[in-house]
Amino acid sequence: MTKYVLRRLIQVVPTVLGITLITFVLVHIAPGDPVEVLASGNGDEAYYEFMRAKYRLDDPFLTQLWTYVSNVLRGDFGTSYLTGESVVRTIMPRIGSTLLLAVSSIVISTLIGLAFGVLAAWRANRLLDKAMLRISVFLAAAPSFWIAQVLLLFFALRLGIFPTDGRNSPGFEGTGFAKAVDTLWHLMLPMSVLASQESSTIARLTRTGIVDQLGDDHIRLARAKGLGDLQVVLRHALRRSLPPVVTVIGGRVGHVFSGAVVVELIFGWPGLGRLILSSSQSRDTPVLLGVLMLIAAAVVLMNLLTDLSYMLIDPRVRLK
Amino acid sequence: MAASGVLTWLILAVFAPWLAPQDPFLVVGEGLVGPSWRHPLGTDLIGRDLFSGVLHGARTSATIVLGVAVIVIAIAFTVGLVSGYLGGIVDDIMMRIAEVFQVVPRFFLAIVAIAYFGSGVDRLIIILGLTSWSGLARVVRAETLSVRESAFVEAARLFGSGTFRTIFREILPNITPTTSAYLTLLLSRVLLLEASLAFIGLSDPSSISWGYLAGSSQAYLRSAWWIAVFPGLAILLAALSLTSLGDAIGRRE
Repeated sequence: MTKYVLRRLIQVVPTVLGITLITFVLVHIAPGDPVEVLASGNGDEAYYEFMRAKYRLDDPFLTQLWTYVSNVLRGDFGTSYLTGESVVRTIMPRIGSTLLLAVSSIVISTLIGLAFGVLAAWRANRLLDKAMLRISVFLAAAPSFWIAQVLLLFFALRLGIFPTDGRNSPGFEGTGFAKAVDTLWHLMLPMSVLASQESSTIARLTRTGIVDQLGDDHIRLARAKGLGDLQVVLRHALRRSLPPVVTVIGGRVGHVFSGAVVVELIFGWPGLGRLILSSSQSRDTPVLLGVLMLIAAAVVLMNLLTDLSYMLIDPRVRLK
Repeated sequence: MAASGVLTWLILAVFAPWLAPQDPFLVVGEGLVGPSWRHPLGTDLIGRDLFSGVLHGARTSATIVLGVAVIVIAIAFTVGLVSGYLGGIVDDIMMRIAEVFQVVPRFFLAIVAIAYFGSGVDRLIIILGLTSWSGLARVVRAETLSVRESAFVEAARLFGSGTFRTIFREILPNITPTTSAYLTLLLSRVLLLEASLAFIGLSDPSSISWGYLAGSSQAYLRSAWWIAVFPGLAILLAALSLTSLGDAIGRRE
């Protein structure tokens, strides 16, 4: 088992490197000179020369790539073209916000998704099940920005029960518990947007997984022992339908991060998504590469964690 | 029945310039006026008719989705059919490549590509097409594998049908239903992806799209709810039309 974990951990490296390479190539074959974009065409020749030399932009492509990768391996992600601040320092303060948004929506959507999935399976083909199917089809087809704006219009602007934007109220000075409550209050709407779509996917999968098993022998035995419908679902069918659900949750992490870009923009949430947008618009390549690498690593690591948790749920995988 | 949604969308897309009461780029009234008889969906900040904008948006989204469909079908079917039919090392290599494309964060790659190469319908189609084919390729391959061993394929080969002919005459027709069901679902995701990109400001400035319209509403949410609600509703309906078509094809199977 340790061997398996190690092998999988080693596989993470080429995937993250591959994604970095694709981005690196893309950025380098793009038309236009980053230095000129930075000065928005206002700099003079001497300034361009100075900047090019400073960031070694005139080196051959492979040399640049090699310098970058070897620096990254030493923990140096370069400095922002725009602010001159180190990339690590630029990214650091924003990681927490995005992580809070992403993790909370994944946790909440898993809980809600499993609960609704069990409910739908228990009431399979009845009214509740059919209504939930309709809702999940609807949620899957709705653009996340639309859900976000409609929630914002209704709950923040119309009813005024949630704030419109930010992570804390303007001028908020409380600390500790008071601050956590304030953050949670700001988190509710953006988190709900991401969680609504994820939970409907998880609920459908859970439902299908359970219903598929209801005809199985071990379920019939459980029934014969006199267990009620809901008990059969909870104690026997749910456990065996978990592996595919876990896989999907792991695979949706990328989706949650993509959704976070739009949601952070709408709710003014100070996370990585907005940093990606601003740094790609200003062509701040070092920052952009840093954030992308971080996200790629997070996605790949989550996939790995998924596979490992698979082993805990399903002993058969351990034997292979 | 199931195709009626997609059909409506396509008709609107083709005839948008004749159906729309106004030129969507033309200032025709006061800005930020709510829905009325004159402007059924209201006007935007500078007084352009939102109803005309939404109709023209059908055209942009249909162009992009169809364009992506062409690229995705071409790559996915080539890779899937060859991989599934030939098997062996070719299969191994192609599936590894497909795997890489499956992990690539599409949305972020698209953001980078469009920010650095400039936005345009053509570039959107290419970047979304090149990053969206891997799932379909796997479905095509799996279907090919299951059909390859069947008796009629065997019979065709016995009667001297070559590889090319067998793939096109025997295998392709038999894997079309399942793969097209998957394709419609994939296209609905492409539609949503394109809308999100346009929403965050990465759309083609020369053509009006639903995502662009919705994105332009963000600054005026307080005063003009209609700019946020209607374009998004159009995207929702278009995506629903694709998924219900996919469902219908899948159920027929």
